[in-house]
Order: sequence, then C-alpha cells, then structure tokens
Amino acid sequence: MLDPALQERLRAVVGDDGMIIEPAALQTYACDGLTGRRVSPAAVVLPTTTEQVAGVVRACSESDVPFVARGAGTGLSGGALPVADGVVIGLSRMRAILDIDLENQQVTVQPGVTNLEVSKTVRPLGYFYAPDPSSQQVCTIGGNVAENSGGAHCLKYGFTTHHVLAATFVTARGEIAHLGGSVRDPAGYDLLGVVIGSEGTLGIVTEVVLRIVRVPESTETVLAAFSTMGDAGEAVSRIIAAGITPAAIEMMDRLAIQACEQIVHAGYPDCGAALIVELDGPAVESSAFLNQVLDICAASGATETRVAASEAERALIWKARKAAFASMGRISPSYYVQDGVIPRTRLRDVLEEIGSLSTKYGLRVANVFHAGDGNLHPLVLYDNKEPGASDRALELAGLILESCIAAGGSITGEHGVGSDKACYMPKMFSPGSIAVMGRVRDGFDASDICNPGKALPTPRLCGEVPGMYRPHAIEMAGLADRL
Amino acid sequence: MTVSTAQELRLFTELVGASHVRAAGADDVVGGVMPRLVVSPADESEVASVLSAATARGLAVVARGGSTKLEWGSRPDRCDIVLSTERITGIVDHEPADLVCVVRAGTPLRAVQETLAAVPGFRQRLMLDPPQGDAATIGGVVATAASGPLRTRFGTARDLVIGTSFVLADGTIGRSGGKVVKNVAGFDVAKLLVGSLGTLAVITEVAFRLHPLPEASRTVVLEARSVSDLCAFATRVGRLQVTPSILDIHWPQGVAVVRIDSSEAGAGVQAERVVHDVGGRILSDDEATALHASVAGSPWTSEGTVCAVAVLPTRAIELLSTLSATCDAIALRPLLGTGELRCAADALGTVVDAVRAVGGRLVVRRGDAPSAGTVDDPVALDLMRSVKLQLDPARTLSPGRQVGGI
Repeated sequence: MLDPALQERLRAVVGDDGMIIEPAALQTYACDGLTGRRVSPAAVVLPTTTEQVAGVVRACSESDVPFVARGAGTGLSGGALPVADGVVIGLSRMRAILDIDLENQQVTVQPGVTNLEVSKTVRPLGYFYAPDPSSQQVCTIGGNVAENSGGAHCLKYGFTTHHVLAATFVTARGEIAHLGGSVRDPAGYDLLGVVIGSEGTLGIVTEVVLRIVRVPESTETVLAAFSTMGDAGEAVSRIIAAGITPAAIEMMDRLAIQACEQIVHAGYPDCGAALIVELDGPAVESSAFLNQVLDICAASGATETRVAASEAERALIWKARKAAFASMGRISPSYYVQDGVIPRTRLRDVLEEIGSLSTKYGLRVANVFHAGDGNLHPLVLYDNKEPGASDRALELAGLILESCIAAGGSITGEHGVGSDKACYMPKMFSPGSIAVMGRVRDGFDASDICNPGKALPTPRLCGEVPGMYRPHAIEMAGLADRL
Repeated sequence: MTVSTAQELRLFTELVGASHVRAAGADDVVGGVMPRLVVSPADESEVASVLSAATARGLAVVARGGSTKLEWGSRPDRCDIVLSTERITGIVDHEPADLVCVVRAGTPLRAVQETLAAVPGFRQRLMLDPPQGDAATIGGVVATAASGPLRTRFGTARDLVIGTSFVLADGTIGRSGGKVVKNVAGFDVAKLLVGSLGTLAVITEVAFRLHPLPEASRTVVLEARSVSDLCAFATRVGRLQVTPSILDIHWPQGVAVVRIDSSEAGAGVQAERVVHDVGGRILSDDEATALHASVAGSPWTSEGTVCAVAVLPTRAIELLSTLSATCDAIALRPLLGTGELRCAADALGTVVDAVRAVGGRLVVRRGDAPSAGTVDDPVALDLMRSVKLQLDPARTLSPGRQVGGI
C-alpha cells in the first residue's frame, strides 16, 4: 500500500492516466524476463518528461519510498524486479527520437525508444546503432544503458558503454544532471561510465546521446558445421590468432541447432557444433578475411561451410541464432538461461565440465554462445512438473558459473547481476571490492532507495556475505586463478 | 629535515624498507608543491599500508609513475608524500590467444609494447599511443586518460581497460572488471579511475584488451597551406568506406595524415580510394615513417603552454581557422573533434575565447595555470564531490587536482 499523500503527489506529477494502482494491472509489472521472481509494486507511474521523472523521484525520495526504473522488462536477471511497497517508474511513454545529427554521428533519444528503432531510423541514411542484443526489437535504450548491453556484434563494435556520449540523468534525490557530453572529453570524473551498467541503482537516464556508426560497405556471413564443439572452438582460436576481428562469432551445439531448426527451418546442417562467423568492413577487406576464415574452418575440421549469398540467406542464419532461447520451449517444458564468460582459450575445458555436470545432474544443457568473446549461454533444460527439478537446474546453472569464475571469467557477460546473481558477486569479487562498489553507490544514493537489492549483494538477501567464496578445484590444483 | 619529517621517514621505512624511502628533492616537486618524502612500495599490500598510514596522519599523497604527465590537472593543495610506482612493475598475465594482458601500474608503456611484440607466433599491441609515451607508465596513462593518434580508431584507455586493481586512501584493496572483455558484473569502477588524476585511488594493476598488429599499413598525406582544405579533406575521408586508424591534421606543418591498417590488399585499396575520391598521395614506407616521426608528440615537443581542446566534429574547421594564427602548433583529430595545441603564455586568453566561441572545451595541460577543466552542471559536480567523499573522505589522494578543487 502506498501512503495516500504520496499517491496523490505522484498523481499530480504524472496525471490520472500515468498512474496504475489497481492490483490486477500491477501484476503486469511484477517481473521482468526472469519470470520466476515476482513482486507486486505498490504503484506504477508512467512519466512522459524528464521533469516528471524528477518529480516522481523527488516525491519518493522525500517519503523514503524505493523506486525501480523499467524499460520493456526484457532483462533476464531480475534487474527490474519491483520492490514490495515501492514504485515502478515505467519509461515506455518516453519514446521519442529527439535529434539526429548525422554530421557528428550522434542521435538523441528518450529512454523508452527501442534499440532496433534507432538503427531502423538511421539505416536509410547509411548509419546504424551498433549494440544489438537479441531482444533488440523490444528492449529499450534506457534498459540497454542500465545493463551495458552487448549483443552478437559487440566483438568488433563494443558495448553500450562505447556508444553513449551523454545522458540527462535524474539523481536518486530527483535532481537533474547532465553527464558526459556531445563534445568529447568532459571534465571531471566519468560518472556516465559508471552509471552505464549499474543496473538502475545510481539514478535514471531520461535522455541519451548515442554514437552511430557507418553501415559497412560489405558483410560476409559464414555458417560452418563441425563434428564437435572442440573443433569449432579450435577454429575460433585460430581466427583470432590470425589477427582477424570478425564482427561476430557465434556457436551452437547439436541440441540448440535441433531446437532452432524446429521453429525457424533455416536449414542448419545436423552437426555437433555450428559456427556463424560474420565479417564486415570495406569490401576488399571482408572478402580477404572471408577466404582466410574458410581456410581456417577447413583446417580445423569443418564438415561443411556455407557463405550467405544474399541478404535473405544472412537474415535466415541470424533468425535461427536469435531464436535460440525461444526455441527451447519446443524441446523442454522449462529452461533456465545462464550467462557466464570465460577466456576464449578455456572454451574446451569449460564445455567439457558443463558436459559432465549435465550427465551428473541428469539434465540436458543446450549451449548457445558468443564464442568470439567467450560469452556462454548454457540453457539448462528441466521439467517443472518433476519435483525438485527446478532446484536441481538452478544448482547446475550455479555450478556452471563457478566453472566460469575458476577459468578466470565472469558471472555475467550481458544479462547483468540483477536480483538473480547478487549473491554470486562474492564469489567473483573480494569483500573489499564489493565494499568499494557499495561506497560508489552511496555516493549516488546514500538512502538506498534507487533499485535497492540489485547488482550488489546485501546481507539480507545473501546471508553472511563474507566467506561465501571457496576456491574451486581447478584453482586449488593451481590451474587457474582469479583476478 | 624537521622532526615530523624524521618521524615520517622512520614510519614509512618500517613499511617499505629503508632503501625505498628518501627525502624529496627538487625533481620531486608536484605542480609547485614540494613534498617531504618519496616512498616506493613494492606491491599492492605495501601501497595499502603506506596509504592507510598517510591517511591516519593527515598526509597528502600524490601517486607518480613516469612523471611525464605529473603537471596534468590543477595544482595540488598539498603534497606530503610522493608515492612512486617504480617498483610495481611487470606483466602479470598475457594470454595472446585471448588478446588480453594484465600489467602492473608502474610498468612503462614502452616495455609493455616491447614484450607484446616479442611473443612468438602472435603480433599484437596495446592500442594506446599517448604523448611522451615511451617513459609513461600504465598507471599514469590510465589516471590521465592520455591518448594519441590511434584514438580515432581504438579510443582511449576508457575503451581498452577491462579490469583494474587499486587501493583506496584508507588501504582498502579493490578490483573491478576482470580478465575477459565482455563482463558486466559489478560497477565499472575503472571508468571512474580513468582520468581521475589520482584523486580516487592508487591504481596498482590494469587488465587491457589488445588488438592484433595489422598485416599492412598505408599512409596518405594531403599537404595544404589552407586550413579549410585540410578540414574539408578530413571530413570527406570520414565519409568514405575506409577505416582509418589515424586521421590527424597538423598545423603549422599543413598536413592531413591518414593511416590505414588492414590486410595487404585491404590497406592498398583503401589508401587508393582516399586518393582517388578525395585527394592526397600515398607515401612510400620510408616517407611514411619519416612523416609519422616528424609529427610524433606534437605539440608537446617545444616549450610553451599546451592545452587539450574538444569541439563537435563539425566545428573543428572553425576552431582550426581561428586558432591557426594564434597557436604555435596544433594537432587535431577532426573526426572526434579533439586535439592539443601549443601557444605562448600571453596568447592563452585569446585561445580560450576562441574555443568558447565554437562551443568547445579547453583544459590547460602545461603552463602557468594548469587545470582539470570545469564542470558547468552543479548537480553533476555535486555527484563528483560525493563520490570523492565516499572513496577518499580525508582527501589524502592528490587533493585539489580534479575539477572544482576535488
């Protein structure tokens, strides 16, 4: 229940049609893409301007009521999970593209604009917005900023943090600040750099200046089939070692290919591992690299390679890859999407470990990943009607993360920590490191009302935090260490 | 030596050993402030004990690497101890196949590049080429966010750092990021440290993303005595389907320099495209080497006030036009709208006005009154103060060097 005085104050800011308090309607906002966790907020507000967002935050701050900003709610780590008795600030009505400055290669948008809409708008003019998370048709720029979203093409083009120049930012106290700048090298600390990827815990961006890049002259897409994931991984290592920076390198295992084929019918070969390698740039460069990649695939044991001959063929290859998560429903009643990162060179070891964990737990694991940057998305398949299966799946998914950490990697490459992985943070970072992050958070939001309980572990959520870290077997054997 | 200095000498000797503490001399002055001691801790844990001891006694500490950019930022309010990172050196980890390396902060950039170049079977590099880069250390390059011509394609330290280890003034040892390029776990604290001018923490280790060395390079140069010709050339190159690693304009040399790095065929075709569609000529390898050497480090190579400037890329031509008569040397990255210039001390006022007139920013890097620039947005400045207060409440680290007296 929201305090009636606060409720009236919020209503005065956003108007009747910008306010949701009916319990049934609030249910729509109870979770994000991590549907297993649901919390009903006390109210949802739908502001349309920066000033309204600031007004809402000021009201919440003065009443000491927590708030959570939300874009399209496609996040997979529960970053937009509401706080009970708190306010959700939905930014879906702030969806205007405010300015297109082609000469300076900048576009200014409101946070509710979808990722794909930016590229669609500037593509006819010869530009695109590089970060391309798989959910790009629906996910919003505001959410991308919160999560520092990547996507398949971040191997070459970088992440959201490399493509945001400036933002209008509402602080946790409801003040309006301008961070970064359209003109480069703003003075002082790079606050924008730490806000990006802070999962909405430092404040709310209400206007974002994005850098757009030229559409490359040519793009070449290869689909290569291998008998084993090991062979495909070898090809990836050799491509990188040859000094080639592809726009994307994606890998899928047999189970993932079979699932995708059921819904997309892209004609992927039935094989142990499929590799998608995309090269772009000046035509002469991408065709030279294409030939090198084809040679490397052949030398690494590829059983078949296909080069997309048309834009339609390329689109079909990508459609199957981007449908990977959704297609799991065809082969399993339930699944859990994991997101971990390993150094490329450890691919073979970690995949073997995932294989043996899968056998041990009696649960199938489909592997889909951004192989170029070692970002794994193991999909743990289970039947939610089977007693205990979901707990076993979560436990297995947790052990996969521990292998990623032991291999020198990370607990999340793009889905974020959110509420899902906050308790894994101590396995990756020392208490001192987490304390520093907590102090940075305090610098922005001392009263802890801006998306509390996300990104960083709290004793309330995770019990006794210090001491959760135990060295992994691989570490104890001296085969790996953590940074 | 005063009594208190003698006590401090004893204290820090206990922490790092007698041969690693000495009384400061004339060469140790930081922005006009004479420190009392120079302390050289061996590693992260000694940095932590030195910093917590200094903080407990209210001493101000300035971290120092190769001293090549020690003037950057405003003059410190106080400086009792220079913390030299000269012993915190070496490459901790380099996995060539992952294109990642982890380096201790006191390692000279040059040593890093040489080590990377010597790995058999791989040709890779850290794509940072800041001014006075040979003697500069990794920690200093990160703390100053210094960059050079390669910024056009590869960005600055902000874009290449994937992890950091650092020590706060109270001795807290922290890390952010990691050893993998793609990683969103935890706050990206490294972004705060890049360009922090040593005011938030002492950086002890940095993990970088590396890039492969290109198979081939071609340099195209346009020589012109007209600023507008040079700018028009650069703008048109920016619109071509070519990917320059370097695109710089140098004044008064009157050259626009384009370097294409690619495969053998790719570099040749792209360079020819520049010449055919826009102009200039392709240099022989010897000519290219000579040209890059002749402009390297400009405008830092002579005495005078040096400023960093930034404008919207579309206003670079106005900036260059108004400044070409006033400044002794200008190096401009027109695609980014960033650059550095050198002028006589008494011309600074004119330069400042000219930059302001085109909506740009200016920071004095070297001169009578170096500064960290200004932040016009009061709310943003408050947030910066608030972050500083959280991480270094006693103002131990380089007090006064950052904007707004932080």
